Amino acid sequence: MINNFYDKLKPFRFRLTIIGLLAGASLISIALFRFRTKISGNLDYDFLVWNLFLAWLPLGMSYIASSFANKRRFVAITLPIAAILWLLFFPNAPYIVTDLFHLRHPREGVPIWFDTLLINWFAWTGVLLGVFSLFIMHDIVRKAFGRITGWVFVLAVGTLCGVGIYIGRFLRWNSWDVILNPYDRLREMLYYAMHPSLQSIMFISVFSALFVFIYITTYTFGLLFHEQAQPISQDIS
Amino acid sequence: MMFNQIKNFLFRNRHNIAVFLLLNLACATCIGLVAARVVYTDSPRHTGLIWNLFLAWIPFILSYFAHALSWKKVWVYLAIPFVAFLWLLFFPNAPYMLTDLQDLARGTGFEAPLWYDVIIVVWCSWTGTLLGVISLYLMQDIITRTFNRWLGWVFVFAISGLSSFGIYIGRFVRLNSWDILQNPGETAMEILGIVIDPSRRLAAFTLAYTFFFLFIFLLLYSFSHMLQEQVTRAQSTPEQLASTQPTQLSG
Repeated sequence: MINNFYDKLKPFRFRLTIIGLLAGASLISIALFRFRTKISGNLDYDFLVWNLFLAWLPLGMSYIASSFANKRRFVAITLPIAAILWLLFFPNAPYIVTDLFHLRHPREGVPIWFDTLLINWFAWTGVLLGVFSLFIMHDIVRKAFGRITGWVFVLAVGTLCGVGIYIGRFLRWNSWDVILNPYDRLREMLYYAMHPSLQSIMFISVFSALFVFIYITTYTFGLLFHEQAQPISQDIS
Repeated sequence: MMFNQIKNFLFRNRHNIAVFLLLNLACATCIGLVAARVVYTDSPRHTGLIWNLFLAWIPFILSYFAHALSWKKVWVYLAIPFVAFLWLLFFPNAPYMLTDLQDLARGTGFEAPLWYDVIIVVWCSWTGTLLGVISLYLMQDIITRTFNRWLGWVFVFAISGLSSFGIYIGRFVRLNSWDILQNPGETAMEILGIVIDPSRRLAAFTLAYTFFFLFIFLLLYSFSHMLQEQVTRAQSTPEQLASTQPTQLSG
């Protein structure tokens, strides 16, 4: 019975390990936050926990999208809806990196190295959650449209993610504002897009490049050890 | 033909080359970002990061060297312990940059936008961590091939712990990797003194960074194996695929 169960899980074992690790990292992050609260007696940095919760949402949505993609019925309707929702929530995952800004003004009561550690845990958990959910979406696009479109998709999402982080950090909108108040938001967005500041251009390009770079390195690292296992008959002549 | 040999070599090592190029590109970007800041604000802030980045390359190159040597059994016992020792000394430099984020708190008169400072340090620390993860992966591969899998994982856990301790020494005791080579007696005594009488700070710092590095390592490891499995599945023929599926027996 246990063997049977293991056989069913075996094809997914690395996927499950990744989710397990991300869940474990989230728990450790929250434990560190609890520890900090206990020591300092105040609730500084409580927004990190909320941001981490938001970072999990795109992962869930990409799973929903991938299960829709496997079912043939109504795929043209369900998949775009899931994908758009995913895209709206996606910037929340790498957004936590910008919480490192708070280190500029150290808080009383807790040594700075502990806060660095705390935000590092939250930020990297968030970024890797984003990488993994982008990977799932990338997989769907690649299977449907081929490799080149897949990488174009990654670049496009990376850029949009930079835009999303900028909007979240400087204009202070949330993902759900677009759903609750679409007309006003789109008009405002159009205004900002027509009159971009130098800061916004720089911020968006550098942050997008950073995220795309993290994604590509993670991806290439995954393929690094594949070539040693490959038979020589694979050579081109 | 010579040309075909080169082409085959490049094709077979394409991912190796891609990783190498990407890491170089990352370092170039870091240097560019820092240089832009120096020009813009006229202050030498963050130039230390470039030095740290250079130090992070040393364990990477050493482990690459060791991995290339390890295919010949003689070298495994002759040269690799020596290379591995050097590697261990320099290894903590790779994830060390994660702690450089705390320098953001030190304000100077010459300010660039805050987000720019953050991105410089984050970019450098990711490059450093990645260099560390890859070099640890290479060393683990040597251990796994020479001994067994189990020992390979023990090695990874031990190194994560030691490297966090190394980061602590670098961050709070302000020792460098080469101090132990230049001044072995004194440095060893100093480190021994810390180990014998550990502070709470040492315990918390080391433990938390050990888990952090392990988390990143294990995540990248699982991710790479997931990708490999996918590629293998896509390349295998339907017959091969069918043979890997569990057979449907009744009962």
